[in-house]
Amino acid sequence: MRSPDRPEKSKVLGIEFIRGLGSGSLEPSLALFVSAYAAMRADAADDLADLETAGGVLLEAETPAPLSDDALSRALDAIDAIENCADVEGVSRARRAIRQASGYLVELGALPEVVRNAAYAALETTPWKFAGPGVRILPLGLPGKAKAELLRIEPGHGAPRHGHLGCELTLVLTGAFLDEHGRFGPGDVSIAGADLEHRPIAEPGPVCYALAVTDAPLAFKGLLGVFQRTFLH
Amino acid sequence: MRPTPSSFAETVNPDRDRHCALVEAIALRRDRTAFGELFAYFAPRVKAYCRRLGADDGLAEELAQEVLVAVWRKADTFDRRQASVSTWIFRIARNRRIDALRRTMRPELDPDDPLLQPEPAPAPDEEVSAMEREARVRSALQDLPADQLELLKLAFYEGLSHSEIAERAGLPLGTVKSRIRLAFMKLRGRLHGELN
Repeated sequence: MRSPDRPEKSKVLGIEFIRGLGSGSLEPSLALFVSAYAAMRADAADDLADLETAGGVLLEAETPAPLSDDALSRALDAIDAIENCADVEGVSRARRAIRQASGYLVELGALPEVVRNAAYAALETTPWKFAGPGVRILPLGLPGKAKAELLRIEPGHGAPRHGHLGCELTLVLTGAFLDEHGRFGPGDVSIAGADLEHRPIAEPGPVCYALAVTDAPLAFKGLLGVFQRTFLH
Repeated sequence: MRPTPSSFAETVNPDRDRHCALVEAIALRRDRTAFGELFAYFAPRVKAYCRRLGADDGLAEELAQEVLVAVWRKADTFDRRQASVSTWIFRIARNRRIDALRRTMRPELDPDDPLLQPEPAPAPDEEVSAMEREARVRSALQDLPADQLELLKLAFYEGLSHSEIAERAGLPLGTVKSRIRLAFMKLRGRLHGELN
């Protein structure tokens, strides 16, 4: 809930998200979001590495579950199939992705690896979409209820005033944008609820790339309710 | 000697270097014998992890195979300076789980939960080596009382929510939260000298 004198919004994600990623219990769009966040913030990366290291130690300590007799030979068959496949289809998909990247390939190269790979995968089938002057959107097409998109905003331009049907988490990857709530630079997260109107404008300087995850009203309700209570007061 | 299910006493896994060399042999030489040895160690453990997450025997075995085939495909991205093989394989299995089970997380967040209050980050110090991190995490796991270890496993390894854990462990929600918070702080090595 907005109030005129509230302090600046928090721009960080709670540890709950890092734990959710660490244990694999986030859906794909949110998992990508938190992975990208960890790629941009040393403290989050450190926490995530601790959790994944604990995961590895606990994996070693598992009591081995017996496999069927032919388990290894079936895995080797799968490997043969991979090794013998010339992947003609893969090459043509890659060509299509390069074409659809539409001159932004160099810029994509500067994004965190997880985001870059998601963008390349999406570009195999989907082109960038025009979303107003200076703004392009690439839907990443991940499964699940939440929707992940890569935004490319040229300096001085703004994200379209999308009706916030649901809630939106935005992570700045390169450049920066300004809105009524402040300045968001690389590694900052903007959290917008359904009741929050804002019109972010990219700052002069490098092109602003951002990763946005939006969800239907109900799906994010729990998370957003908390953010509003915790951070927006 | 391998860690038994109840002990993380070795501060470094004795198989660590061996496992690294096996993955590197796959990356460099497409070495199938090396793959066979890794498979024998990790596939049954990944299967056990998948069983723990609720997959039936058939699905768990299928997922374990997929994870090990992914190990073959991704072997050239493995870097022993960044992670041990078990951490790396855990991450592959975890990502496979995100894609396969697509279990949507709806953490019942509590704004008063101290875990949610952004903490001052530890000085993102000089890069912690994977070995140092592993030694610290192993010894933290080793030192945790059994009940805290169990809660930590449910929360961080199996990915259950606080209220699911409270139900399973038969504990009040508040107790679950504070124990998990404490366990996580210990894992992060933030409590040295503050407790005990």
